[in-house]
Amino acid sequence: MMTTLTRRSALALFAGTAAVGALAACGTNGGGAKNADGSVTLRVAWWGNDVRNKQTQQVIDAFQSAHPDIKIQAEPGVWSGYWDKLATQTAANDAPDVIQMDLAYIAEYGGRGALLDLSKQSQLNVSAFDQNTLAAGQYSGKLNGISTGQNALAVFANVKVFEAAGVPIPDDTKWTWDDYVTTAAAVAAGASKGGTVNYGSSYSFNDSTLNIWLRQRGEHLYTQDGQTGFTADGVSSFLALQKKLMDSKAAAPASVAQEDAAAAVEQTLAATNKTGLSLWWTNQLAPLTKATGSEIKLLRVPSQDGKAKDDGLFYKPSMYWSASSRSKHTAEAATFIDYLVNSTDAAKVITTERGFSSSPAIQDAIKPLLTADDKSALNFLNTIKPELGDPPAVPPPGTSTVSTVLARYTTDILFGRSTPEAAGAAFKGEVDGLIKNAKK
Amino acid sequence: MSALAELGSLKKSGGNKAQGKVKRTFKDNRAAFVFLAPWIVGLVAITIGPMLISLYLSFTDYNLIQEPNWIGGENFTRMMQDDRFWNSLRVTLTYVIVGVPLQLGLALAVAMALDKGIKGLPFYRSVFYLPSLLGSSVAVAILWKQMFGTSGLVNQLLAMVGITGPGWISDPSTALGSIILLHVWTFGSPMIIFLAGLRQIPAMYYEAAAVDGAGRTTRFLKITLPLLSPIIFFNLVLQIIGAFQSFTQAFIVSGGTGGPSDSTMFFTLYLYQRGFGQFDMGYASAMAWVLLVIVGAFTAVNFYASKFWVFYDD
Repeated sequence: MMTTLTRRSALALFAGTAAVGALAACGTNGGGAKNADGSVTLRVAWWGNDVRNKQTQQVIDAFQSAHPDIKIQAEPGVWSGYWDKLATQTAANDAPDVIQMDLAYIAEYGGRGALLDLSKQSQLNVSAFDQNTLAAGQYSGKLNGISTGQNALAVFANVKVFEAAGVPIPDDTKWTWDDYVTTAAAVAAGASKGGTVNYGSSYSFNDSTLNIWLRQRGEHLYTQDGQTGFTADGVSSFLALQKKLMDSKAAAPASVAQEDAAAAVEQTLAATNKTGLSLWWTNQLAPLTKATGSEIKLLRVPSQDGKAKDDGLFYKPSMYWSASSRSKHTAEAATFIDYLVNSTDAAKVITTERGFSSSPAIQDAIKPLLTADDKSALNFLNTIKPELGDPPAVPPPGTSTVSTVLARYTTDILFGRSTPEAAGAAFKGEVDGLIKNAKK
Repeated sequence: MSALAELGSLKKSGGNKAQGKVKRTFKDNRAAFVFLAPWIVGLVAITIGPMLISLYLSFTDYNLIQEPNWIGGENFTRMMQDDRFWNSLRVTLTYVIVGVPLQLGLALAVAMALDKGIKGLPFYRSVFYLPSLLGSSVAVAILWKQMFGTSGLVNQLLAMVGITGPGWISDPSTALGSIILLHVWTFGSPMIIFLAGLRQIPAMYYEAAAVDGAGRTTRFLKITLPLLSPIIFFNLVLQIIGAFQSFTQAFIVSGGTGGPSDSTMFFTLYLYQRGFGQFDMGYASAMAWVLLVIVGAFTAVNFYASKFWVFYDD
């Protein structure tokens, strides 16, 4: 009898395995027309956290009772999966009607015609917003989104860590990057005792930090006409700074830095009191205060020449509300966005969770509701206002992944796999390539 | 196995009689096609259809949002000049060439140990199989990330014996190795197949060899390996195809970046990033077809080479 495999049965075994692999499932889509009772269903997508989800749902409920003819189907998500899902939905012609957008993606979608031109929607009143706020949502002449509020990048100084290290908090009106490195190294040396490890400063190598660095040198990450506006030198010097932080023991070794970059906010070195200095957006003050249990002072980002007016800071729209250009209910979508950005009722629920609104009516409405952290962040925003330069250009299509490109080159530098000079040139080449590839 | 063999001999005899009676054959096969219909519909709608569309898209500049434009072979020429493409190919080949033999070697070793008829075999078999059920899951990749962190379990154990471990998955020089280790650990399914194959080898061969004075090594080399060669071949082909397509482990362990420094940037992960991250779906489709050709070539070479080392007992 047959004991081992024959040629024929071996083939059958392969065929059987292939058939099992071919099993798959299918799904169906809902329609886009009106519901049976004449009402309209709007799909609204955003990324966020538990607090934001709860607040947004509360606003949705209030909106629905004011507009019985509009039903809202909420599609909350988290940042990491949000963009893959949105890309797939958009490709399948199944994008949500109202979409929470980010600066990195607004031209990626808007520049390709996937977003509704909100300036043409009569239901949406934008008169409360100044020119800079509106410009942040414009690309190639279209209003692709309304900024929900603004943030600025700030150095968060952990007071508890500074006190433990016996280092005074520096004067941020005239500190330079050299002062930053020296201060961080002193904190690392002073606060590391009795088994406690402190690394001094966290790294910050996202595209906004790079942009601030470039602006301090008179360069820009992107120009208004959608090209790169920097030199390889500009990036090389930024990468050299990261290396200097590591080499002078003012920041963690490469492996720890790599883990820190991937960690959830609450598990970062900054949130676990393992660094005294770190760069964050102002709306992250509340979670950081909560996680560290320490008072946090907001400092200006250092400049290259020790003059605060040259520190290159800018207000960044923390996120936008946009609508899909293929939505079948554009009027209702515009009505809902109008409620989100103009209604004081909505603002009183959300307060500053999506950044500080630039609408004066909303600023007045939420004033009594501000927490201590809010006030501290608002105070910082107001302090730097006279020093702000021109708002940065909206990143052109193709550049939504530039932050990960920069992180990759920085990792190369920290692990000694490349030099700042070579990596700076390669970074510029790669970003130019991304922009070129995205053009049709 | 014997059922499969009988099926084979049935087909053989059926094939001779049916000559020149096409109509009759169709009538005979009608029931079979009816039963196969759900699978055929699925194959066409879910596998072949999308594959053909992706073949078309690989010659376009499709960006998920706008209509695709025909650009000929541009995606393929861009690929040739793309350092990150070549890097992803290198990473994947390393993973396949190092990971698969290690995994199969371990699977065979464990299967042979379990074949000795030890007590509680079903228990051990389940325990060793468990990683395969979990291995490609998100949960285990997250566990791996925790264990191999700079202050993870592995480094804590190393610290006890006075060794300062590296950041296994955060250091570009060890990250790929850590993922290969995760792959090797999921040796369960080839092990189960090896175990079944070992059980099929008649004990009398070993007894006869023992009488003739063959030692354990000789018996392994002259009896076990030749008679197990179809199974080894089967496992080898499947594991190579699977390893080329592996995605989840690198995606989770690197947080979707393929980092640090692209050291775990698998071919499929880069394809995914180009398609869904950079809206370069035309390029991603072209990459998918290149992968198909590479996997096809590897499998063809495997089948060709099998003539020289796989022994069928028929």
